[in-house]
Amino acid sequence: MSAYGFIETKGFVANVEAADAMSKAANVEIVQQIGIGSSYVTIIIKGDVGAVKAAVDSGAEAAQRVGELVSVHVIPRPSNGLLEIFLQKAE
Amino acid sequence: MKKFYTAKDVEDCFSRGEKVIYINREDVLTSIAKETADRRGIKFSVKSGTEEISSESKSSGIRTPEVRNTVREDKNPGLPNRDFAVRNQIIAPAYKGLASDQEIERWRSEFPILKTTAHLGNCSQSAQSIRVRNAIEDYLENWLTVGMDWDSWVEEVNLAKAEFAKLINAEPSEIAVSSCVSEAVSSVANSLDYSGKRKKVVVTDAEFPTVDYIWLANQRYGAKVDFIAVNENHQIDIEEYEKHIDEDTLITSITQVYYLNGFKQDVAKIAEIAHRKGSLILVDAYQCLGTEPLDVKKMNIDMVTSGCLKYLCGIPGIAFLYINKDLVSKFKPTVTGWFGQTNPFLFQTRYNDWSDTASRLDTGTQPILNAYAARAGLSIINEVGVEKIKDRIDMLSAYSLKGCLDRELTTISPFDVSKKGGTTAIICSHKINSHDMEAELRKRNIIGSGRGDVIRIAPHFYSTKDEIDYALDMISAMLRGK
Repeated sequence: MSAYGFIETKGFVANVEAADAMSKAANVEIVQQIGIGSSYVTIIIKGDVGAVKAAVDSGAEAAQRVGELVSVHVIPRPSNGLLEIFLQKAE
Repeated sequence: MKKFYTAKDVEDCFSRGEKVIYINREDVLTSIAKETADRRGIKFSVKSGTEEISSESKSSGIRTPEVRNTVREDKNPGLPNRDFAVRNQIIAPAYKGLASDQEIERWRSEFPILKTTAHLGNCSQSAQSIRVRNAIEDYLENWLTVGMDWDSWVEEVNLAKAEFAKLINAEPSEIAVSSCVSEAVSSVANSLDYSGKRKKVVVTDAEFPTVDYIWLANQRYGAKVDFIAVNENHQIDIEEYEKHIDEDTLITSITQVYYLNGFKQDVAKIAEIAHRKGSLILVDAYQCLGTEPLDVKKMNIDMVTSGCLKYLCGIPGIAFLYINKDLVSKFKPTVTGWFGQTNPFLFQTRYNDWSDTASRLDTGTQPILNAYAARAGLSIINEVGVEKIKDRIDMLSAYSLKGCLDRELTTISPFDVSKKGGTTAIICSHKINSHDMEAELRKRNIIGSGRGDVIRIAPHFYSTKDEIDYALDMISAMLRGK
């Protein structure tokens, strides 16, 4: 089962910077970027737990270097089907 | 704004040989940061100094640090926490006692407020002296009884210029007067020609912001502003000047002391670097002048500016600008006025006939009343002597730092007193911000100065150890919620 990692920023640029850092830092897959309104943007990645944790750490460092980081989070063992519900809603 | 601590922050801390990362309660640690900290033997501690967060990760995710609400066990009562003390070893020159206790006591009677108040906000405004008050009243009396008296009023401005010149070992003709440092720096900035190869202006993040704003505004005229950042210790490495000042640099504009934490720069060394690379140098000495010797000739500084309300015992509304006499003729200010002319009283209108002295950087009608106060305040500093004042400020500065360590207060000021002005900056907390702290201190007859996240304790030569102890005790009690 894949772990999921989340980085939420205020503004698009910091989010892209985080995504770039995360994809370079570890073997993770970018699942989706979601604009949730009021300039808040969330990026979601998945992979094995260690990779996701390392990627999120790098993403956090990168995001706050260029913009405003709002939140970071890792769900190591998400409930079956959990993310699918939210991602469908986001679409 | 909360900060997110990552593995990089931990590795940076480790590479500096530090053992503790001080964080705010609202800050967030990534799980990798915590794992790295565990591996490197580094702890995270909430900045108030009384609470410590666990470095043991209970979750593999990212989380807000868990706070253990326990007071750190002190196995050595009276001694600072070992990690904190090792990291912050105080280095201070030997106190020579150049001013005797009796002399200080005599001067204290010159400042009436000291009978009732620990006046430790001198980084913002010094205490009122009888001499300065009398000087202001002299002006009022003159105006009342003599009436319009421009000759003597202008002469008073010239005497104030001479007193300022004496303080920095300049000639009176090398001093211009302004209403504030912003005006003085604007006069300089507007005098420069940015159309040639040299158009870079090297400034720092340690400037009092008004100076940076002026240089940024002058980008409209071709200036290219290049910032030197302060590092994580709120200081600037001298090597940064070697990197930033180059053959394109027109002027290097620096503060002698960082207003926030008292970090003091080696202006003589920076002047040497600037001149070696063909740059002018302007020093904003406002944050320490009067407590720190500044010899413009010996240090080879092109320009110095300062107001008078901090350590020069004066009031707002007047500032001085030193310009090396060999440079004066090169300045053609657009921030100007009739007092910048060779003969202001010629009243001609068809051409600029700038003065050959630094007065060409004077602008409009002079700040007469403020000059009375400035001259009186400056005369106190010159009479006591800056060497004596520095000796005492360094001693009080070291005493303040030790007081912080003893009480486990977190300061962002340098622990090497040779790199520090009089200000000691103590971090406030979520329990009380610096603005409220300043107000609460005032209720306890203490004048400190809040800026951002810190409360600043800044003694002058008339301050005493007892006053510092009293202030630090009150700050400590408030940060602990008492």
